[in-house]
Amino acid sequence: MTGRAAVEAEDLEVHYHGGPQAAVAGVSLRLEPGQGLLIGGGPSAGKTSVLRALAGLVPAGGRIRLFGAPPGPPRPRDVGYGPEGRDFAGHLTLREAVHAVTALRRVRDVVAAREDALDRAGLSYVAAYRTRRLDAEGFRRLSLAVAIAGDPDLVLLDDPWVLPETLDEIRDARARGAAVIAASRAPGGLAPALGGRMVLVDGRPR
Amino acid sequence: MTAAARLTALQLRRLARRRWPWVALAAGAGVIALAVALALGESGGDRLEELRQGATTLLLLGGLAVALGLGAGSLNVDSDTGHFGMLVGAGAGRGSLVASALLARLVGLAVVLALWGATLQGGALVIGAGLDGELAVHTAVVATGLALTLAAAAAASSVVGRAAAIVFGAAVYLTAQALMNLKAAVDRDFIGTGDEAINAVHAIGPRIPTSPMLADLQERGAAGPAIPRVDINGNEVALPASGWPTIAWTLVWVVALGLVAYAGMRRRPLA
Repeated sequence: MTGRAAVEAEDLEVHYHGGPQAAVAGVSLRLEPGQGLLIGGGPSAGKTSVLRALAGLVPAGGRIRLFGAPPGPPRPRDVGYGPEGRDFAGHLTLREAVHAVTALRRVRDVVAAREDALDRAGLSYVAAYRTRRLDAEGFRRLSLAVAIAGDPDLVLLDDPWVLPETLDEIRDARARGAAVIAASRAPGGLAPALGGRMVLVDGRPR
Repeated sequence: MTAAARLTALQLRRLARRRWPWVALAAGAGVIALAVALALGESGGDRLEELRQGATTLLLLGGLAVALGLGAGSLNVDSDTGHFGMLVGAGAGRGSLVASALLARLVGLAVVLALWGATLQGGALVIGAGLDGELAVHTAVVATGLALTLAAAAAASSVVGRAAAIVFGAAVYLTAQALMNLKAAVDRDFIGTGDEAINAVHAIGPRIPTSPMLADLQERGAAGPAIPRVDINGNEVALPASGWPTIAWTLVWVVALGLVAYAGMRRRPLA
């Protein structure tokens, strides 16, 4: 790891479709390699918007730097983003979905990294299944596998479940020097594994 | 393999697992079987004419349905469901995503048309006409116009939902076809006023190429109910066969619409 912060965000602001109402405003955070952060808050508090802004999925105001560079590709370090929801890998098998993201990262052996991620997320035995066969827990595990495949230097987890595998991966990622941010409405047992915590109310830090 | 090629292969795989393109393919084969059956009821040269009429109708109406169906859901659905978000989150560029989505759908359209074309050639053999080269050329020429329609719907899908993208794609097709009709009328001195304006808009606007086979059928008023001759100022206008410049210009428009799709996706929020 270099001396650069994994994540630096100052006065982060997200407006969807140019609307006047900010989904997120005034959020600043800094994460060094190896640190963790839990972003909590109620429904529509802006948790997911913060993660999407960091992942380069939504246009954001303010200043965002991941390892010293803007959030969009090309990135100086690998970022792992585990989306929320159930439709992010439609018409694919679990193995194909994890392969697709692993191949986009700086991984020497994509197949080995893919199988490793599926195994660590507890999905090896259903890897050949199409995603439509998954239940809610299966999708959370797939999201975890997508985020950790190839051991990225920054892991962003949106709506992770408090599973033993999730806690293990957060701890292991931090132990190898990766920064981890998780957004969750019901933090449960995630907070101790992550260390830091931020709570959003109506898109602003409380 | 480059990231864009990998993403295109991924999009093609997902496309091939959807049910409706297969249903469209099978429905087209059914229409061809019907056209062959009707052609067998004719005798002599009328057999091939009957088959060609069925082919032009299928390739136009069926092809439009497939092109609009493929194009209208190419960017909006994956943006909203989180699929593009998953890929961008992993490091994919938005340009690569747009290119792969568009390319995969163009390949999908080409596959459907190629299979319909092959089935039509089989039909030509069944009715005893032998392989029909003119029909094969017609299939390829129609494919360029449908590619334009698909690209237009895809460009719209970067900013609007599926239904609106279908309307936009269909509107671009109809506008381009109307321009071709007006240009043909101008060239035959059927209009008289606004000729320069029509020529100018035709020069820069999108075009739908006409194959030699369709031009011949239209000239004889035998192109079938889906492609009638257009009445302009009391004159029936039959379209002339398009040359290579029109084909090339249509493909330029496909690329331009791809760039419009990228512009729409550049700052679109992804789930």
